[in-house]
Amino acid sequence: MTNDLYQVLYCSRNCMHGTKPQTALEINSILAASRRNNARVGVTGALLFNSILFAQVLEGPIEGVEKIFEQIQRDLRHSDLIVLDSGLIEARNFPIWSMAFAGDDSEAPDPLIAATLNAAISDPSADGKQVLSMLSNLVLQEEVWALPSRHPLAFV
Amino acid sequence: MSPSSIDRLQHTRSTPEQLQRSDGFIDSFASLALMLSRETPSSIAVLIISLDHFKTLSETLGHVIADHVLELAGQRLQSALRDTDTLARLPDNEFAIVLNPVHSAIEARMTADSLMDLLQRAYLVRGQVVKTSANIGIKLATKSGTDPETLLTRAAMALQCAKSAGPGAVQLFETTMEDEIVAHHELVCDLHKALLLHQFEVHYQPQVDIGIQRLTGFEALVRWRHPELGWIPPAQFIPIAEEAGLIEMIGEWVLRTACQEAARLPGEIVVAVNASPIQVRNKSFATSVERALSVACVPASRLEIEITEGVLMQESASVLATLNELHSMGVRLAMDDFGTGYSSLGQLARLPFDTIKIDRSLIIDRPTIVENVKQRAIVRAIATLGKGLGMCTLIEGIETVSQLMNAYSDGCTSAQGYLFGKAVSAAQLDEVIAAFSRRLNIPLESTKLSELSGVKL
Repeated sequence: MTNDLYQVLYCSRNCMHGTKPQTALEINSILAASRRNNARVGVTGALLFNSILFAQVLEGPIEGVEKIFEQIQRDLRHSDLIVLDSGLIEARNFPIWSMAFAGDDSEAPDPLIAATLNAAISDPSADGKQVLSMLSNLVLQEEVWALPSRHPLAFV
Repeated sequence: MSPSSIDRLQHTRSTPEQLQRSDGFIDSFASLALMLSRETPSSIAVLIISLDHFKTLSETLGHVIADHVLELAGQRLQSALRDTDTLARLPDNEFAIVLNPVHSAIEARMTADSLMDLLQRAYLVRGQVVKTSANIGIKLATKSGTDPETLLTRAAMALQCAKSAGPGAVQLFETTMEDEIVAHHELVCDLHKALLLHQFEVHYQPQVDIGIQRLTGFEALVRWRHPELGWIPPAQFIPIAEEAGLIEMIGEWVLRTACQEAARLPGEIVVAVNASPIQVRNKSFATSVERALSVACVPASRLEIEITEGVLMQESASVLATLNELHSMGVRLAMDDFGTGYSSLGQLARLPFDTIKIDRSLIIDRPTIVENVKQRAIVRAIATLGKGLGMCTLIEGIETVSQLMNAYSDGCTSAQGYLFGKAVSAAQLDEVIAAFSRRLNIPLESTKLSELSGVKL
């Protein structure tokens, strides 16, 4: 049981309304904190942020995932969190902690990502797998920030 | 706005040892009150937070998960509070918070909104995603009201109001609440006594067959003669009775009384009795009906049980079993208030109803011809459906001949309303029956109905 891998996938709305550099700073601190906290409990995953919405996958031992999830839930920098998918998995989709960043300009968020996330947040019963595969693709396609080896905030 | 919360608070204060101590929580309500008394009184606010449906949660997911959720909820609250604020855990899945300092109602409300947001976010416990909702009641200390007991009681009153506003509601205490809650509390106490003191009466409203223009039955309607307030309408006391857990006793009494009256009534006159969703959901309801019939020596066909769609909303196997059992006993079943709620056609077709009661709101004269035409189209559709399913369609709230003519031309088979008489006491029943002994002779056919079709008269 203790070796079981558990995964949770969620979307939430960004509540940070600062300027671009301020937001970047916040994201930076979110990433630094996740890097620290996640490693401690064996959790990996991916975070996608497009200035309007967050999507995140957390993977690892169930106790670790629950702990991180609860910490995230207490963060007032986002709201309307919706769990799209959760359950046991065979193997990690994101063996290293990764972040995909999609569009840093709130005026013009990546339309495909925005549409997918918006659909997911407005209809939580919809298949979370779509968001998950989108996250995987983004992480694979664009850039993989294997923290802490590279600076995560290329967009700053 | 249940006064039980007031009782509970008083109860809680006397038994602080019930409270579990855990990190960050002060250990008793008494010490919270004590702490309150030390605060700068005019710049604090007391919040009482209740997590809803917690009993259901522990019944469905187990105590371990429910307790864990409660613990996480407490931690979330603690994480959002300042060092100067205080959090206390109360029994019954409630928390009390003293915000110190708070300088305005807006500030207190904003804090409450943010706490609400945190509490209502999903919990991940043992691999389960758990959602819960909450309500918050707030009382700000004022210069004139600083007594800790009063602050706590009033925050609890505000909480009760928040609860009646629905999940997620936050409510600041208002002075009118106190009067309302006291009045409500008194009404609940009086309601407890009402059965014993014989303050209920069953009144009977005639139901007629439009085609043959004869009396076919009566709807039994419970009335409460309050010793000081006079007649209290069922719409006012039935919800209170349901909330106070008295509805089954009252319902059973009405059922028995109506059956005994039915035994006395001539011929094939049917007595229709309303059953509360709470009664119907009780697995022993069919047995109660059977007993009421056998005690009164009345054939089952002389009784009709009226239920609302609400009963079928949470369609459970036991409710369906009860309805089928009643049907197989020969008791008639009526779907009450049809045409206002979900009006599920599928349910109507599947369940053994004998009568569809079309809600009175569908007979009211509307301001425009178009609206009347649309409304009649609905009535016509229901009547057609009833005919197809072999059910009577009884239209309620008929007050004028023209409404009756419309209902008849739309295909309704039966009617009820002031045109045929208001509900009368049992003593007046013979008189009413005598008056109906002849055909009513309302000129339904003499008017050129075809010309009137679809148009308000």
